[in-house]
Amino acid sequence: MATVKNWQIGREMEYPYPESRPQRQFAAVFDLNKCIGCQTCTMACKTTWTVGKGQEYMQWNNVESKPYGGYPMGWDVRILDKLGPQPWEGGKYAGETIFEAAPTDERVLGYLKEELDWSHSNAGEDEPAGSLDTGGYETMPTHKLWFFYFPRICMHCTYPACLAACPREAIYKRPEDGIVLVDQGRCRGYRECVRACPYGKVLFNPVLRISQKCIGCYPAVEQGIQPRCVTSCIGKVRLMGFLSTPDDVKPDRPIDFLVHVKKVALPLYPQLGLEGNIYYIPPVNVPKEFLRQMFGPGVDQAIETYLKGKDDPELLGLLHLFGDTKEIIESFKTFRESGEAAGYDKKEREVVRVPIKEPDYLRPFFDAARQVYRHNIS
Amino acid sequence: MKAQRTILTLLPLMLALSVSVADAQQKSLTVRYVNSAVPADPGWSGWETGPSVEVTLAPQTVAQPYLLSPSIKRLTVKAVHNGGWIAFLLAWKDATKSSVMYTDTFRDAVALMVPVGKSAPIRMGGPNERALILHWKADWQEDIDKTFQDVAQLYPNAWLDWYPFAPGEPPYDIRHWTNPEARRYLTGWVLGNPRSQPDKRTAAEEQIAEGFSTLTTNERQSAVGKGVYANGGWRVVIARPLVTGDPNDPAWGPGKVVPVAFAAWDGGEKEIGARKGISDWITAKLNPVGAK
Repeated sequence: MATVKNWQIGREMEYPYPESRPQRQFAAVFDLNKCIGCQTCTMACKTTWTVGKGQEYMQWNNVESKPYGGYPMGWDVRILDKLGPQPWEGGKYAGETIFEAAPTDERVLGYLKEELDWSHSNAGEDEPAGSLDTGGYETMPTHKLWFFYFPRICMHCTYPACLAACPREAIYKRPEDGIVLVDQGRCRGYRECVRACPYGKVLFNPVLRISQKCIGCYPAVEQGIQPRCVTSCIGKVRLMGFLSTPDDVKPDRPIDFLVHVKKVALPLYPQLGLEGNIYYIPPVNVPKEFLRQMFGPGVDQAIETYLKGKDDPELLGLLHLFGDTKEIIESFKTFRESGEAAGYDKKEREVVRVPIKEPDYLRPFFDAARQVYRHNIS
Repeated sequence: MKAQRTILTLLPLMLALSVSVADAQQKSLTVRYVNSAVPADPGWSGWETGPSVEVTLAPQTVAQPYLLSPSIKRLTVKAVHNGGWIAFLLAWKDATKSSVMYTDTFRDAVALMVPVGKSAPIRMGGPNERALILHWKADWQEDIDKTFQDVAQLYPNAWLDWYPFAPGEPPYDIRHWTNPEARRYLTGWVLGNPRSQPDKRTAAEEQIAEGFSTLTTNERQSAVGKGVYANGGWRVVIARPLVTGDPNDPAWGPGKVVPVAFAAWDGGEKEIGARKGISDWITAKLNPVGAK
């Protein structure tokens, strides 16, 4: 075991391999307030990557409903249950990660998902938690009766549990972009990675008898294009880019701005210790206790900042760049005079420019020029 | 807490070593000379005679994940050679035949290891101390005995209308996916991963290793294997030419003495990879050609 720095838990931790960060880290921010659960991302991924033999059940990208949904079923509650109650002390995690809590005979605390766990990807869909009393009503922002859609892909972790668990060293993290891949020639289908990944994002192909996972659409990323699940999202929920470490923040880098500067986008189950690189803007309608368990101690501040976003031109501008270009946005700017936000690629070429506020048009009820009345104009 | 962990880690290791050392002192395997063909068949009449050795399998407690309590505790081993080929018969009790790999099931397997040079560490060899490993797998046997375990075999009630670019019609037998557009979804097959090949020649894979985590399919495949499950147990034959011209040929031959080690996996207990029962080196003495 080596000692490595995991900034998401505010401390060093034990990991089977020494710290080795890539030159650039693939990362994305998903705004959970905007997801409508349409599964267009799931279909984009499915039709691109998992239409082969043995992949019939596979969803490298999936959208589940929280609190009750899960693919594989119960992936979150099962690993939390195995880990047991664990404390945070402010921004520092005082409990054990799944590497530190691993039993003597294992490298990672995990469990083998059963076939049935993969068989009900829609279980719990649209099922709300809580109830309203007769005559009760919802107050804003936190709802008594709530659920939210939860889109998920591989986290392309800084400290992948799949990579740690593979006794064959068949899983690697690419130095050029941090994407985590299973070597399809070297894998022997032991499924140690399937056991170890707490997010349930490595899957076994029973026809090819090897394990497979989200590849971060690396052929697109290599050409400066965002992954298929990101570009196909009709709700403009997602933004993919690259993330710096907290000691090297570039404020004009979109993911850095959301994660490190504004801290509106949070890691998923940071207490597990993987330093995953998909970040979530938490849903404002959900009770904070639930969100703190999922996204750590930054939840209250993230929601507060997000709700004030309308008065923050930079944050508002960047949120408007979500889903507006297929190019990877390396840096962004907002223009107060024109009320626009723009994104730039690796060569600093402008690849997208959008108005932050759509102009209002007021049309009279009676159009004198055409001698018609307008109604239900939208 | 760290110190406690270290002791816990060492305990099973010490336990395993004490078992293995005792085992090694008493075990040697006579590889009988036979003046006939050596078929890779557990039903061959030649197996009815000759000495056998009971090989004890100990927990694997060196490389995580460990297997602290192997399901298969012993193998009954016989071996013969005819000057050209060497064959091992490995038999053990297993109440369940496990030969199909669903997402959460594992197959039975057995392997034997021989140093490529004079000796090699028991930990699957070591740097520049290469070991040759011959590994029989029940799922490969199933592919050969029945047919390749495609979706139609694994899930007979499944129906898919369409796979992009796949030729033919439902159930789109994988063996017909010969065009590159369809094959790009069959990663393991295209990359030559032996597990993913629909047309398997034999149920044994010839591998080389220089320590844990280095196991690699040997470029040249000369070993053959066949297993039969009957009466609550497996009988598996693994055979290989003594000399193939491959640089990974062991230093074995008529009249020579070589160390051999064994491992076994009970798929029903989800044993796979490092989760295995292992033996120490057993001394295998190959009788000279013509010896009775």
